[in-house]
Amino acid sequence: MENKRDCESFEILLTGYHDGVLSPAEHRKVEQHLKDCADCSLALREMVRIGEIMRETLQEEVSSQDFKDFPKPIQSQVKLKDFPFDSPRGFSWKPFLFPSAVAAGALGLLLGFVLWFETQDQRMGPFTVSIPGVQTAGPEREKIQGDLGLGIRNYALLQFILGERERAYQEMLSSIQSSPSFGENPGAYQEDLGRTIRDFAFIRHIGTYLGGTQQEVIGKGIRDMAKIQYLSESKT
Amino acid sequence: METPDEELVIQVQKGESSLFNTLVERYQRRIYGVVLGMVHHREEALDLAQEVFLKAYKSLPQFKGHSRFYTWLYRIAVNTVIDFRRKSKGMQTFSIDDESIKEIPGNTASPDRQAINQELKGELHAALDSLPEDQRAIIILRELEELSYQEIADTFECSIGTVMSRLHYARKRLRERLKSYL
Repeated sequence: MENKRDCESFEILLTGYHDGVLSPAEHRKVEQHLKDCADCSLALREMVRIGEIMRETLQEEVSSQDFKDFPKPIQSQVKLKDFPFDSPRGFSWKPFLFPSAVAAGALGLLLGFVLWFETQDQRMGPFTVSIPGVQTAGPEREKIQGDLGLGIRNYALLQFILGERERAYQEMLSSIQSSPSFGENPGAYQEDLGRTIRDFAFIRHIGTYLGGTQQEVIGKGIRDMAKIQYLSESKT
Repeated sequence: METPDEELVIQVQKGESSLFNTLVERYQRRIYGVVLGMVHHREEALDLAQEVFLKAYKSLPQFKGHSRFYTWLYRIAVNTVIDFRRKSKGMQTFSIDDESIKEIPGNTASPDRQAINQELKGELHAALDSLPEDQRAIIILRELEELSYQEIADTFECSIGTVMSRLHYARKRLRERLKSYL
């Protein structure tokens, strides 16, 4: 029989031996020791028995437990706000939350600015437009008015965004004056002209705030320019 | 053929939340067993096991699959029980103390394996209770769940050497406490 000191050096290895995780060399070493050591052999048997008792006792308790309704309380405990996943089939607001918040913020900012601008506008009174050849009164309306006015406005915005503010302003005026229907019905341009000039001022403000990087507006301006061209040609 | 855990986890993460029930059904007994082995109280163990799954469900979006799902689940279970015991420290959840253990008539003959008596069950619970939390959890995962050293190391995020060392001390302590039943 080996002495107590030898057994102490085998204590931890005995656990590894019991669980079969030792290297082949360590395994042989422990096996050899066990042949000569009754204490360690007893310790090993007790380890085995401990495992058996644990499994018999605890597994008996576990197997007697009925789990029929076990998952249900979990589902019922998960409130909607805790639900961490998107619904695969149903509608989910989650993907829209951030864009909506950004859009709402931008809209709020724009509305605030519009309201502020309108206040300024009213304070300043109606615009006085002085463009040679343009009358400031006239009841007639033509369908072309709206499109032309919108196009000119957006063209001005487009040019402004492209950084050619002065040129845009001049082109806006010359577009109005050179329109095929300008000479025929100058009064019809009054409202559009006023709105255009007001919008142009508005555009300048917006441009100051937004830095003139609105691709959508540029696209709209190009589209409207094509429209103006088409309308102008069909009028000619 | 059974759908692998990892595939179910991915599906749940994608929104098929009902598939989490499959994972619950797959692991409810094991998790309950681990928790019961640590708290020794049926109702508490059931509540805690449900808490484990609830935590896992809520944390699943953060599960990246760096470890196996079940070792991650065992880690949640062990941490949940440790938190629970820490909070209820001072509250007596098990009434057998050293003196009462001594009074239990020791059955010197080896107990019948088919019918472990109540005294031995009480002794086992008391002995497990006397272990430090990490040793208790590790020996339960090893003996009851039969996890490998590597799986236990993954669960506790420790080395295999640490697993062996803690198992050694846990077994030594249990052998001392249950000597008369061995």
